[in-house]
Amino acid sequence: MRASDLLGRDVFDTAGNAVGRIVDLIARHDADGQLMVSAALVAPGRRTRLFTYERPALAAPWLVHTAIRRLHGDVNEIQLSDLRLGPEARELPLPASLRQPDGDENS
Amino acid sequence: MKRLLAITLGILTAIGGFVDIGDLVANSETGARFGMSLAWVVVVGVIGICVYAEMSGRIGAVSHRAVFDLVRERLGPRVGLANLVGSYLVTLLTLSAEIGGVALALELASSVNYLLWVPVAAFAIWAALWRIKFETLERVFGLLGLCLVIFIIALVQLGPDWGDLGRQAASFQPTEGENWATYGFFGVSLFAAAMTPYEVFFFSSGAVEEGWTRKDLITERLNVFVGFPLGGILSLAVMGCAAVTFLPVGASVSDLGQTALPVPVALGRLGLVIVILGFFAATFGAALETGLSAGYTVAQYFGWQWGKMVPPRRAARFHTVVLVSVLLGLILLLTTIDPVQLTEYSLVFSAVVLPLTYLPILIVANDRDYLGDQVNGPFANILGVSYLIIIVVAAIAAIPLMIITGVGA
Amino acid sequence: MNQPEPVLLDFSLLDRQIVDSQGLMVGNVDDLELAVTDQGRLQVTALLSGQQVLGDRLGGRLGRWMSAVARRLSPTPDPQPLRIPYDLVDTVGSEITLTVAKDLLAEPPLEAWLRKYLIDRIPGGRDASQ
Repeated sequence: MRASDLLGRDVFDTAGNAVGRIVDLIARHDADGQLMVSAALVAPGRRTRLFTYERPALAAPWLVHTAIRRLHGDVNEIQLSDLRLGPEARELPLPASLRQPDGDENS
Repeated sequence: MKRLLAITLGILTAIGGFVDIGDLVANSETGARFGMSLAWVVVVGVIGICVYAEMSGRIGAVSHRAVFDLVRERLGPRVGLANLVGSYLVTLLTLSAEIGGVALALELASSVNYLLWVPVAAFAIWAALWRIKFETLERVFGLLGLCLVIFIIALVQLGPDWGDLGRQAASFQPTEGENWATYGFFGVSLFAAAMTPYEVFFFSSGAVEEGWTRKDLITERLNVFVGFPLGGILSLAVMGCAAVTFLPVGASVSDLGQTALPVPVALGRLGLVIVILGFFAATFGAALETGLSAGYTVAQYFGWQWGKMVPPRRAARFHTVVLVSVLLGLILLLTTIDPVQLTEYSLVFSAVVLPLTYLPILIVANDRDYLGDQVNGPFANILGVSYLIIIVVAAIAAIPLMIITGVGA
Repeated sequence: MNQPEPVLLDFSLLDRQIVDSQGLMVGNVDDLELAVTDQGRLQVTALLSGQQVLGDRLGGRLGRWMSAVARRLSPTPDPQPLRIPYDLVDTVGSEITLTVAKDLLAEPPLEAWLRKYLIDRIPGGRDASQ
């Protein structure tokens, strides 16, 4: 599958409630150096682009920053295992489940 | 002399922004109709392009990424594509006009109809882009374009009433016979011309072509802070000459010959030769700038290898776009459409595309992953945000003003 | 290897310029290939580059049109996107740098075709400029 298949998708929690749309996917390198997707950045409301991102490297002009934050609302990081692609879906429709073994990555 | 050679990129970029075919006639027409009462717009435009060209040049030097890379990256492929279409069309229309401008300059020199010169000009421009090194093109046309300094000399020679010119400049209102709508339209056009997107496309890509790095930031800033104000001064000189020559008699300006007129009036035969040479160099230089920018925008959007820093066979798609663009420009001119009219239309559309070009620059100029410790200081950000607001206002006002005034009639 | 931790796929990878070990431009990251591992985890396996991939990602009428144009302009009947395995990625920053040179990767068909049938036929296309 491709990243574009997941980005922008509406997602739901395990209880079937809508939580928003996937704005970005968070990936980390594991012990073997492979890049594994562990969580998604979910924003309520419309899909918008993450123009900038809250991190120490960025020192954006205040006005631009708040304007953009108002556009996409508060962004939450949610573990993939807590997300479903449909309100009734037991798990994401992939060849295997997206749930990760317990005791794996921290957030 | 070596110092002078180091700033030719800035000068050449500024030529495209302030004294290309569209600006030459527009500044002259503005002077003829409004005197110097719109001079302040040129000053505002110079500051704006200095702020953003410096940012885009800094980004190019430190990260080797040019502006259109940033456009797609920050705005996303969809909005980036909208910007690409708009920017490419504006650049293409301008390229076409510049080819026409070169032909018009040759017509002034030879009295052979410009349409016959158009294919010659188009071929020469393409051949220069194909074979001649970037640095050579920049040096030759940056320096030759400085012949337009003749307008400053002519203005002084015409012995104007400087107090009168100063009063016009400080009046901030339309002259007699004009209204706020035409004043606004010409003001927006002048501002859009000073900040046309292809200037930052060209300057940032040129920074990469020149191989600038973090160590060259002083050179980069010299290029910006000498080149663009110089371009602004030249355009004010053209405006001033027209104000002194045409405003008192109520004559209007609509072609390149009239734009040139004050110079031989003041300085005779030699002045005429120099001004025609200046027109040729400026329009040819602007054609090179827009021809390359047409290629830069498309190639940078798709991620293709671009630039004259590699042999053409290593950047086949880029050079194909440049070739096709010159051909399209040529064909457009052969429909006998007036080249100067072309720029007037393209100017207004560029005002609409401006916000989508400058916002990514401002964002990336603050990104430490890109610039490390060279990110914007608070001063650059204050100016950057202020100008972004001005740009959005101009973009919103552009098309209604165009319609109300019937393109400035 | 210099990559941020964690990596934001859309922000840090997508739409960035890919550059080879010599600094030559390879293409943009038009999409990413993801695969589900045997342990049921989602792995980023490759960078994908190409106009058709971009068209697929844009979706809608616009994307379909772009993919169709890409297919038509391609000299081969069934163009494959440029696929760069993720372990060839060296740094992720303002650009994505690879550990290998461009020659080791497949050349985009359009570039090859234009070079062969247009650019090389015009005198002067082979050498650097004067």
